[in-house]
Amino acid sequence: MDKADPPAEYGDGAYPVGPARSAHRLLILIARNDEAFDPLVTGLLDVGITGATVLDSRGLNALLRDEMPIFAGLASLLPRSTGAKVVVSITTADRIEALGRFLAQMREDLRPIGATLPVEHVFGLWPVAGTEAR
Amino acid sequence: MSALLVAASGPSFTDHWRVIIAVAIVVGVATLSLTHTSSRIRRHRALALFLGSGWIAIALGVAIGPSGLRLIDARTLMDARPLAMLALTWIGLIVGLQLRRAVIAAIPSAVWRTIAFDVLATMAIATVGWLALRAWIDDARWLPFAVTAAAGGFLGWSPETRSFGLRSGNGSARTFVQATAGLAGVALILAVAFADLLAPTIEGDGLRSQGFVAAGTALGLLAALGTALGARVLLVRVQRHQPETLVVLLGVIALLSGVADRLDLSPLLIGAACGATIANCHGPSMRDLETTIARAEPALATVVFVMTGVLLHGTHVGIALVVAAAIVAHRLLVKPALVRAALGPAAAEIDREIPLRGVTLREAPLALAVACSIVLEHGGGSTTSLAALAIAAAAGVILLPATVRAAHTEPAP
Repeated sequence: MDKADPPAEYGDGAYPVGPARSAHRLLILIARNDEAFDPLVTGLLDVGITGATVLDSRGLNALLRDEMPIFAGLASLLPRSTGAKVVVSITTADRIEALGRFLAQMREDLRPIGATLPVEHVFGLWPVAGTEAR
Repeated sequence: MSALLVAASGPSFTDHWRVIIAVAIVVGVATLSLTHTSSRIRRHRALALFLGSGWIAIALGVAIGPSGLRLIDARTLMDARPLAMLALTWIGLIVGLQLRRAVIAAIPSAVWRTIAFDVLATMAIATVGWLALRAWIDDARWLPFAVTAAAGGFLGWSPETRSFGLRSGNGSARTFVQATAGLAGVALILAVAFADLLAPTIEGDGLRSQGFVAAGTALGLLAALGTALGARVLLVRVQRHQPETLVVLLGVIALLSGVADRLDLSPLLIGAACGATIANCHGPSMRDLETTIARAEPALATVVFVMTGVLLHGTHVGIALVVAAAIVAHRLLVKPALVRAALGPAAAEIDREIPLRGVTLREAPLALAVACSIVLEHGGGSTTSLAALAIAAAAGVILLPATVRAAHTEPAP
């Protein structure tokens, strides 16, 4: 999510709480690996979602396997990253619809797992030209 | 194997049903170990220790085996032997797949030093044991194999760290314990191959000369290499399609276990050679394959534990108890000192998470898998070694909580 200096109308030092915007959604996507993440980024940019937070992540099964190996322990020397990434963004419903159309055209095994939620308030995110929060 | 074949004299209809029931029980219990409920239960510290040692499954194996309900007898065991070979080959593949160049390069010198100390100590113990037993037992071709099976109880340790109270994360103690356990597993599988190569000369076995075994081993390794290269091509083609990946994987395992069986080689060695080759081929990552293979780990461990229980028949209880006591004493008194010596100043860092004084470092489940493969291949006194490992594993479970508690209350020297 993009950040910028607060506009003057918010005043000095005031932490802005944006008005409830029924048109906005919280978008959460999980790409399984680097190969799946690359076209997802392209899709996000194509539909105009230009601000998002990307987090490295691991599935629960990967964590359980690492936690309790039985026959193989050397894998503990490798970096913990599995290549999976979580993308979080606040965006508009129409962009999410456009993203859905893009994802439908992606190869099935590369499609991310995802969910959207209605957003009641937005904290710390100012409308900036060219971002999804505009 | 010949000992197990003695009872074989034509299966009846009832025998067939006994095989089906026995296999259904093993597959059922193995499937249960893959459920989320099982994963949840194993997150409990005490249960992680108890279930990780496999005692419930070993008890089940004893119950359905020749010593219990006799659902599985010597003949049934031979009929179900392909299932055991498949499981052992799969385990070998798991061990081999971790041997990527990047992983080998990342092994810290402390782990190499610890393994070197551990292997030397185990070799010394095995040599003394072999010489003592050879003076006592006149003519036994199985003796080197029985000693090798017992040596697995002295080498390495279990990679499970949750019972020490270590949680998820990148703690240095956890990495050290798991990496050392992984490398010790590889050393153990190689030790079996060496025992296979050396045994005919040591025992003066005229039936299988050293050259014959060496040629068989070379042929088996070549077959593993060829299978790995072929599998790699197929796996790249079916990448991202898990059902197809599973089909290729099962085909590879079936082929390799057949090769190991025909050439009288350890399925663990052939599986590991194939896995290491696949892991080091150039090309795209085999994450799907690794996930598919690793996901089956608890089920394979369950099969090994049940197999251990079934094979605990016709053992010499007295010798098994003596060997088990030696294993426990080594793990309680000698091994922690060896680890501290190998680690040097770095021991203090590990010590903060796992106390290295007087703690029973439990034996690796892989030692049971290796011993099972030796029993299936050579029989004889190896069964007594397997019993010793099972008893030592149980003792480790009983002693670990007490020794950890004692170590935490003792002031550091």
